[in-house]
Amino acid sequence: MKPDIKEILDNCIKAIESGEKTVEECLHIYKDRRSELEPMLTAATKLVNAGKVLPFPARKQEIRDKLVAAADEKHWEEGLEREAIKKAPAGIMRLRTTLVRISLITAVFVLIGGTTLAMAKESLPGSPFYPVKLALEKAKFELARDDDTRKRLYVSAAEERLSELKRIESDSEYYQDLVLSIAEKIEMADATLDNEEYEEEFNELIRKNKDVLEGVLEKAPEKAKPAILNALKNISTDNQSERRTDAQKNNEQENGKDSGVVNKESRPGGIAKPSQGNNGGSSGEGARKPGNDKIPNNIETPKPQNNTPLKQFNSNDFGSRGPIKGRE
Amino acid sequence: MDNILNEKELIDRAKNYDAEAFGQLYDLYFDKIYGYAYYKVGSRFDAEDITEQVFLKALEKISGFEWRGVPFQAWLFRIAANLVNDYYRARRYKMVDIDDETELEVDGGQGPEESTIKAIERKEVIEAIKTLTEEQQQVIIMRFIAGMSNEEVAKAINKSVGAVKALQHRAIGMLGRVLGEVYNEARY
Repeated sequence: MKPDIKEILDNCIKAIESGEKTVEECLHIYKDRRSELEPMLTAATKLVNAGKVLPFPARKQEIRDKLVAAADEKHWEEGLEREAIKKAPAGIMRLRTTLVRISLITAVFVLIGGTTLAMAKESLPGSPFYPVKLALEKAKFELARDDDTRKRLYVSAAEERLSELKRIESDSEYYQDLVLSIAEKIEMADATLDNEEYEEEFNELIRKNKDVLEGVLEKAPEKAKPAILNALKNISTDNQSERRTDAQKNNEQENGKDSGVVNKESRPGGIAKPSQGNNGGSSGEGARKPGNDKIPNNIETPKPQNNTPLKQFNSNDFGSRGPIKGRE
Repeated sequence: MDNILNEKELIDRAKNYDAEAFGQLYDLYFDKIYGYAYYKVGSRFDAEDITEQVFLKALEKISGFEWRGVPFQAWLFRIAANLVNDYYRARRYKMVDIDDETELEVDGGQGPEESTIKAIERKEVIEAIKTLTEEQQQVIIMRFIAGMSNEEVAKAINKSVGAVKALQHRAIGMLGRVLGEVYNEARY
């Protein structure tokens, strides 16, 4: 039986690709099909020779970085919620899916009764109502009309996670995820706050939970540490700024230089961005009050291990589902 | 076998949005998908954009990926094929002028002259591939550019291995005629 030309061609291509045979050797083997086979093998050789085209390495790396950051962001967004959903009964999962899909807070109130809502509000990770609580939070984010509202929601979400953390055992299977979620909310709020009122609200939250945050540092996943340490460092620097200003004022009063001008840092609750290095040489006794700072001023904020920030922020981040803008 | 096991493990981790696992899958498949996109659209820049979209889309959809169904590589190629179709739909089938691409070749270790010759040959091949049917193009690019086996191509385009061989035969027959003409024109 005459061999099938498709099989002959395929065998020859494989042999040529692997370097086992040359075109001429193949043509010699199948010499009775030479006229038919030759142009095809020449074309196949041209295809192989045209070969691989390589992308620009820098662009390849750029796309990789973007993808890894997007995966990281997805992990942050979905991780805790998915864990909770996995452990939730099927009915609760369906309810959560519906909630996310409609994304309307009013519909949430219509669909689930007041009791369920109240239970969801008080729920902790692991509870069947916890996914409802997260869905409600997400719906609020999606409904927020402006950045200010979203910023406030981040602070509020951070507060809620902290409250949950205080109520679960440190050996709970949800502990690490919760710490990660806190770090994420803190970082999102901290990196975007530009309104004095919200910033003070945020700093107050950190101050109030300073002990809790310092306590979790030991067990916190590496990725969560930079955001928590940074927030603690900020309030630590705030305290020092205020103390320094008090000391300066005292000196000025002693020297009869009280000009009556109150600068931004000296306002009670005013905004003081972390200052670098110079303490102004006027720290005096006021800067050494006992028990003020467990976090040293020269603390080094560790970088995430993979050099990827927890989040890459821009104004479009709020309320978006991440940077994925794939073509549907 | 180890590769398959490793890939399965990577995919399982990537389904939980493990960034490192996703990065490794990207390293494994980027060049193949990029090569496919390049030979389909004939432009480096557009091929880069399409490849980026393929992986972002894969990230978006990976939680629904089932290992038992289509192999991951085939799944990626299906995403790529859809995005290439979208690309041409968006451009209303306007073909890309690949003349501008010549100067951008970056084949490693080649001098500018060799690189230019290679780019011209590649341009001929791309033009010849465009004369094929959609299915023939898929088979030729996956087999010869992405270096996939007949079995892998069959899974990616949802055909039997026999059908892939038949498509390959017809496609190469056509390319033989087209590239032969190009060769003869250049010669005389």
